[in-house]
Amino acid sequence: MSKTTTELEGLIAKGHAANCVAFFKGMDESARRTFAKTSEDAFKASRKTPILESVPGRFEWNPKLGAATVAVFSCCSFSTLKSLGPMAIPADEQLIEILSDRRPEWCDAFAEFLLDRDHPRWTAVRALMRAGLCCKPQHDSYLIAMLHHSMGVGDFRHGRVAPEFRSEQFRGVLEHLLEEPDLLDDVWRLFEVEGGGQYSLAAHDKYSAAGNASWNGALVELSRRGVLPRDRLLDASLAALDRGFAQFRVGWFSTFHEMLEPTITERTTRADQYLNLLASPIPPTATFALKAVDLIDRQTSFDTNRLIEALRPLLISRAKATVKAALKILDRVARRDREAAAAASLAAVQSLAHEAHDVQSAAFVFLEKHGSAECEELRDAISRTAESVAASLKSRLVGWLKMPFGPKSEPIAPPYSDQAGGHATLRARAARIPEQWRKLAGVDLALESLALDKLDLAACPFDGSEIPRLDLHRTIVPLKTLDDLIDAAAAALESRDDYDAFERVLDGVSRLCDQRPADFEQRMGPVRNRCKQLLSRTEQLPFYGNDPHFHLIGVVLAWVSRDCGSFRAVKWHNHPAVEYRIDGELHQGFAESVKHPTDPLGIRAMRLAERAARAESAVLLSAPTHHGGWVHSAVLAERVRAQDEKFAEDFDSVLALLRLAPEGRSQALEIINNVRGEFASACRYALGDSAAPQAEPVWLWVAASRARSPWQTDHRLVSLVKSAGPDAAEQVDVDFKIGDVKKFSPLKLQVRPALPRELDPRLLTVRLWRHAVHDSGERFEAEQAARIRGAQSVWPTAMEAVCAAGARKIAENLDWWSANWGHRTYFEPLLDADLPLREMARLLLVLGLAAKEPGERGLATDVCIAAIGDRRLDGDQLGKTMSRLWPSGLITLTRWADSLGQAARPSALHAETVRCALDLALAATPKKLPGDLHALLGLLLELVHETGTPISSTTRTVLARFGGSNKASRIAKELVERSGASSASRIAEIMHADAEARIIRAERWHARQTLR
Amino acid sequence: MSPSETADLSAAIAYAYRYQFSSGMQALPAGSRLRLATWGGVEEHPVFFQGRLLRPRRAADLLRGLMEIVHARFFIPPNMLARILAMADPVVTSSEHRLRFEAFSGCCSTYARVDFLPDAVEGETVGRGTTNVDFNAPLLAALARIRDADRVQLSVGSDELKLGRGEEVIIEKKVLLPLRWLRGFVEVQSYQSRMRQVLEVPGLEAVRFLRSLPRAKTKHPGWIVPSGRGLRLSQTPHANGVRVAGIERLRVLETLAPLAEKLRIFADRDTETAAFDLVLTEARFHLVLSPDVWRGFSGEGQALSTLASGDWREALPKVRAAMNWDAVIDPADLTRRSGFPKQTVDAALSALGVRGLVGFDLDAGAYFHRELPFDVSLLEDHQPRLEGARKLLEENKIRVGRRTAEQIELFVAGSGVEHRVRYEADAAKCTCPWFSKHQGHRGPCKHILAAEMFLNEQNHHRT
Repeated sequence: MSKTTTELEGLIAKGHAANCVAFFKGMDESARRTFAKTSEDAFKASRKTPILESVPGRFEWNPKLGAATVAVFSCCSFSTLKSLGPMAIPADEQLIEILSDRRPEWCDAFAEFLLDRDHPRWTAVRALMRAGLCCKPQHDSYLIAMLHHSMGVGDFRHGRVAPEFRSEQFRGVLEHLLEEPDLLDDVWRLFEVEGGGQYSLAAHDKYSAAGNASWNGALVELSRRGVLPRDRLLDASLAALDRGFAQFRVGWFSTFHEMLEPTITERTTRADQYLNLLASPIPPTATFALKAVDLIDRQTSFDTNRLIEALRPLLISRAKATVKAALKILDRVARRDREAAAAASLAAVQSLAHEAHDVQSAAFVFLEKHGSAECEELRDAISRTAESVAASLKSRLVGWLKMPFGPKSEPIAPPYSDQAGGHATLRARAARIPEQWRKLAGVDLALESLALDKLDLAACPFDGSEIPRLDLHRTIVPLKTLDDLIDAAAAALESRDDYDAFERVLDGVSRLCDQRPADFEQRMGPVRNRCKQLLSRTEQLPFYGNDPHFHLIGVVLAWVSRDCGSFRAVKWHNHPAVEYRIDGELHQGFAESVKHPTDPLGIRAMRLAERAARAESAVLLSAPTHHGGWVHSAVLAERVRAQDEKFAEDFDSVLALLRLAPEGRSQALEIINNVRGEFASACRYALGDSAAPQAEPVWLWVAASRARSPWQTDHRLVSLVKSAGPDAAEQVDVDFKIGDVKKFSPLKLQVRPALPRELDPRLLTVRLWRHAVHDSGERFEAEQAARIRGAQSVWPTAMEAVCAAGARKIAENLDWWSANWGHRTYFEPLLDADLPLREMARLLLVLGLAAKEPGERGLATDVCIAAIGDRRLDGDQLGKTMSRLWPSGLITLTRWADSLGQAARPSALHAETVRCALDLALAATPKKLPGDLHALLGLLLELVHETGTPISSTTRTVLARFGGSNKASRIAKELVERSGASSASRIAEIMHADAEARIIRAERWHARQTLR
Repeated sequence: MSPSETADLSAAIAYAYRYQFSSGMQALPAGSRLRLATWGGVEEHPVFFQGRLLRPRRAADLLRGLMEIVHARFFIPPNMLARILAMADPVVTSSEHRLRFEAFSGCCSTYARVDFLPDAVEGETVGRGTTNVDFNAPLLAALARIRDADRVQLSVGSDELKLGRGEEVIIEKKVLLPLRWLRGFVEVQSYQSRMRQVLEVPGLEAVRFLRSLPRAKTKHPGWIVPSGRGLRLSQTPHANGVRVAGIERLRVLETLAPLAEKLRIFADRDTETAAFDLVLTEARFHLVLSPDVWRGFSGEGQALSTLASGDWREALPKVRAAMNWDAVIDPADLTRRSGFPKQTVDAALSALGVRGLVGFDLDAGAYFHRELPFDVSLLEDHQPRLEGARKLLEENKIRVGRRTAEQIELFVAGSGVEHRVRYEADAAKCTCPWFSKHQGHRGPCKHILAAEMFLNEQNHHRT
């Protein structure tokens, strides 16, 4: 009886995969092809929804897809199957059943196809081979698939595990090879094929198995049992090491070779191969070969010259241990053959250029022992490496050579401006600067110290609220026309992290939302379209989350569609969610709070959206005039005057006050002197008016008070406002301690006055602290850069709360267990030369210097270099913060040594500051000495040699107590014994740099004041 | 590309290398010979060089570095790439006692070139030209075994095995060359021509800097900045710094830097591309990085305006004819010989670069003649944005909006909307997401190109 497409459609619709197989049973190819179109259409349709939500919150595979897969596989051509992709291949059992019945000509090609993919179908191909449906594939992908399979990630589709796979996933390699002995022939090819993607012998044994279940364990066992010849395994593994495989993958072969435990005779037979491997570009391979060469050389000496030549590449290796091991062998060679000592010394000189001090030291010891200081060639070679030699070694080397090194090369970029002249020039420049700026920058004291050759490197004493802060090069230019606004909105929608662009568009919408020319809809079409497109791609909603990007979408959509949208709390996938209906479309998303928005920036944007939908233009009081969220005082005053007594939105008002820049306040006060209204009064108070503050509304007067004097308690307001929390009327007092470093949140912040239980959401300064101490109910900002920039823009004068939050987050993720790429944004404002580094900022910085993620650590190092260079940070401040952290065990000291080493490099001033910080930090006494303390001590030793300044008596006392003979103790002893003092010329160099940096700062402030 | 080969210009070109033999080391009675098989170019199997490597180990290291770039996949997941692109061999150009080996990473983000100067080899330059050269895994392994004490002959091509046209080919390697790979390979030259040297450090400092680079991948770009007598990787933009993203791409230099006398770093601030030039006494190793690992050199659209304008078209044949496999092309000399103004010659050289007919040598600061052994003539017309713009023009999907003394406004059809292209003070802006995202830094969008063509056409009709 002939079968019809309707019957097939019915079977697919019911999801009867087994019936589909039966449907095609016994059918010839031409008959099968008549169903190809129907099957393909059904497959493509069901592929669109592979997963179905049967009941809310419960998901399962679409049964139609399983049936359609069987159907396409039963009747489509091979080229069609390839084009349909991996989902068109059924599970192994059905696949074999269908192909056994169908027996197409393309089975061999199909087997290769099954293997040549991200998730190769090894079990299917082996089943095809066993069923005689295909030959053994010859391509490398067959071996890679074998590795893939042995990693236990074989066939797993449609929620069903094939029975054979179920048993095999727990089966080790040894068992597998013994059960399928034909695979033993393939083993030798594994030594010739590197692997592919994430599948290789190395990956298998590292991530999947151990013992006999691993490849190396299984092969060693097979060799022991005599199943695989030992000699061939030894040779094959050595040959693999010379095939240019990638480092990770080639490591397996050296490990395996050593697991075979070759005897000294076996090694000697292969001596040439080991010697050749010394030149391997893969450091671990070279190290492996070095060990073997060392063993052989102890038994049967190599030819001296040949060995020295072979060791040369290792003497410049990055790996310290390898260089030191090579130097040891060289030492033995030189002792054995005195005639070869000269050649060996010339080879050893290369190691003097190594970046590690202890390697240089080992090379120098070698030279002292075997080299001749009279040898011209050797002296030349040493002088070429002179500038790389560590400061602590230089004097010894000079003493040995009995000659100074050649002329010192200049830094490739001077750390300070070319304008720098002598002291007289500096004094002349300083004289042109008004006293207030000189005082705040500490210019006069620095010049005095310079004149007296006195080392005094205290940081500049400004607090940031008394200096001009606005960067004239980073002004946010207001949008003037509707067309400009459209272009700016289109651009802002594409740049998620640009917070300034977000604020600029909000300001534009606020002022221009009443402009609706006849072709408004048409002009706004692309932006409207894009907003909807972006919204449909995510589960985030405007205002209810805390991403400024989506707030912007909400505002623009409300403006364009004249509808601010409606929000409703719903259940979505059985979870609380928010439903957002806008411009005829429905969007759903999850939110922190489904009842109302909590993010202050979101609430402010929502209020603007409501106004824009009504086309009511108005000034946005808090729109920043400069990068960083700053609002120029005079501009705010003009906005207040223009607004007159109209109602000011609460969050907008608070933000406007907190964002007030320090400059131009008296001028601003004059502008709004006669403006009436609550906000104008608060604004006057913020600008420094002598009138008394008021008790209500608390949130407004707290913001005004904080804007007026961010670092002081407002005693007049304290009496009116009770227990509002830290940084309300009272200045915050913050401290930290390090708790259990093994727990998630090791940094504990303590603030006084304490945080209140109930908090008015408009008290933004208090909310910043609530977030900083990690109140789970507070979601001021999160991981993304724009969100953090938003939080930083709330109160740009006083960043301590945001820095504290940043410090907590960096401390939680020091070892980068979670990829929070946005966290580096916390360091960005610290680069601002006018932001004083107070306690929390320093804590953030010092934690950043120990971060594992190179971006975070690099940025913290940049901040450190900049802050030392512009005199915001001194050694005492840095050292004190460090001394409170490292004894806790939270810090990986090698990371500090690395970043502080870089921070010390740009100039003598930097070196001296870091030396001073380390000196102070190491005076702390931990309960237990960390294992990596030697890294920090080593850096201090180098800096002590470089600067000529010995350690302080307190640190000397602490270090003198170090016992034992470990590396840290040896360095500590050296530090304790070191005496001396900085040379006058070095002090002059440092103090000149210090004075110049202060003058540059004061000149900048003066110029800003003049330009204003 | 032979006519028999299929070409699928929508994504990739199926390309077959047909070598007479596999490149490798051949044992000789005294030493060994590094035999490199050639295919393609003016001749099928050209013979370029027969001679001896004077510093064989260093030469081998440089060639291994080059192959590291060929194998590198800095962005696309390896398995995916393995399907898209089987390893594409380097090309070698022989001229004026110089051998230049060029290669491009599989992910299209990194270009590398090894220049062997006359001091690197001793022998006879038999031919001039450019050809593919077979690099394979056994050859790589053999290169790793070369020592400086070895006596190593080098032959690029082989006279012994020279077969007649149509005779049997022994080795055939089929690869799919994605168009963006091919386009990147040719367009990287015009990027280099815009670069200026920013930093230079001695070899020892270069080694220190390269070893100090983070081993872990990081998402954000860094800036290489001067620090004391050396270099440092900063995370903040710096006036004297060079921006580099995908810092792992520099790892190849770490192995080679100990051989170098100095490292020179070049950059073009507009395109944010950077180049690193390791200077060895007898050779150079150039590494050119795209602005991000996920951005190739193709598709940046820097040459689109030049290609669209076409002032150079008349000069192109004469400039091309004036070249004779010069290792250094002197534009002044070309200007004199071709009779065209220097600006036109420069534009023609840039267009020749886009056609794969010249390379750029940062060391000399000049173009050099080489003709890539691929048929790249189709690339010029196959610029997706140009194609899109032409289509918009053909389908009359552009209309003029407001026109004032300060600005011209055109509306160009997009997907379901009309994008507004606004010309203001010579700069064009568009409301499409692509332009909004890149703000013209990656060349004009198709709407702006279409608007430009439309306005040009209108001007043409008017005149």
